[in-house]
Parts: sequence; C-alpha cells; structure tokens
Amino acid sequence: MTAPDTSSPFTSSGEARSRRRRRVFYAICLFSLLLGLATGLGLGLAKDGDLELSRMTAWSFAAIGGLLIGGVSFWFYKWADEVEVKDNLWANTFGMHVAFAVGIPWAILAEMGHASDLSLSIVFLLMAGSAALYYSAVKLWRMI
Amino acid sequence: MKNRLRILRAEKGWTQAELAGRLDVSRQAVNAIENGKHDPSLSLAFRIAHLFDLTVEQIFAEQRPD
Repeated sequence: MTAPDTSSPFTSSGEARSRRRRRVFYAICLFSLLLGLATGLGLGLAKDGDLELSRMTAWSFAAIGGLLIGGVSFWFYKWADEVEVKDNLWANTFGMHVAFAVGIPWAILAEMGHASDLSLSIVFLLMAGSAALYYSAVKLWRMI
Repeated sequence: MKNRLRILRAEKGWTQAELAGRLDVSRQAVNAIENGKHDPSLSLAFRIAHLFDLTVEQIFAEQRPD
C-alpha cells in the first residue's frame, strides 16, 4: 500500500497568506485612522485657518468611516475566495431587495398622504439587518 | 453537482485545511464543495483537477434527476 502523500508545501504558504491578509487588514485600519486624522486636521485648518475641535472631530470620524469601509471592502473582495464573495453578494442583494420592497411602496403611500414621510434611516437599517440575517442563515446552513 | 473531492482528498491523506491551502481557498470553501453546497467556478474546478492530475469530468459530474 502506498503511503499517503502528507507533504504539504502549500500548507505553510496558505497559513502565511492568512497572516498576510490579517496584516493587510490591520494596516488598512491604521492607515485609515491616520489619514482620517490628517484629513480632519487639514480640513479644519483650511476652513477657518485655525483649529476648531468639533469640526475637526466630525470630519475625522467621517473620513475614517469612509476610508475604513472603502479599504475593508477593497481588501475583502481582493482576498476573499469565491464562496465568501458569493455569500456576501447574495446577502447584499437580498438586503437591497428588502429595502426596495419596503421603501418604494412607503414612498408612494407617503406621496399620496396615506403614510408618514419615508425614513431613510429605517429603510437603511432594514437593508443592513436583512442582509446580516441572510448572511448568518447561509453560514448556518453551510455548517449543518 | 456531485463530486469525488472528499474521496480524492482522503486518498492523499490531506485535511480540508491542507487542501484549501493548496487551492488558495478557505477551508469553508472546500467543505462546501465536498458537501455539494457550492458548485466551484470553472477556474477553481480546473485548479482542483490539475492538483489531482485528473480531468474536471473525472471529479465533477452533473446530478441528473432519476
């Protein structure tokens, strides 16, 4: 009987790739933080010529948020494998459809005066919540 | 689609993590393919076939209704 081939030259490189992915993720977080702070500082100075803490903080948080989401999204779709990408895309599609299914009739009814004004926050929360729910359900299904 | 991936992996004595490392996918992806919960892309199917030195048809087959 032939001994099974247990040599795995790619295993260590696979682990190395995982470590590299984690490092890239942390680097994006750090870079976003520093760039966000610099952006906030720069914009605060450019606006008034002096440092106004509240405006600087607000711009910093907005810039950090934008960069972090953009950076993590880029990192995710660059490194994630096809199963992860598929699950995420379907979850996002589901969330988007829920948002449309709720938002459009609500907007029409509001326009006709039969409902209160459309709340974008509620629609957004519904979209994010249903996407998260779908994603969790798919992951659970894969585990069973 | 049904496949022989679990058998082929067992013949090599590899764990799912080891196979995942060789294919540059996650262990979750290997598990999903083995359990028939994910049909791999053409590119990944060819990578799998190449790794086991087989053709795609020798590993994957369409599951026809009886």
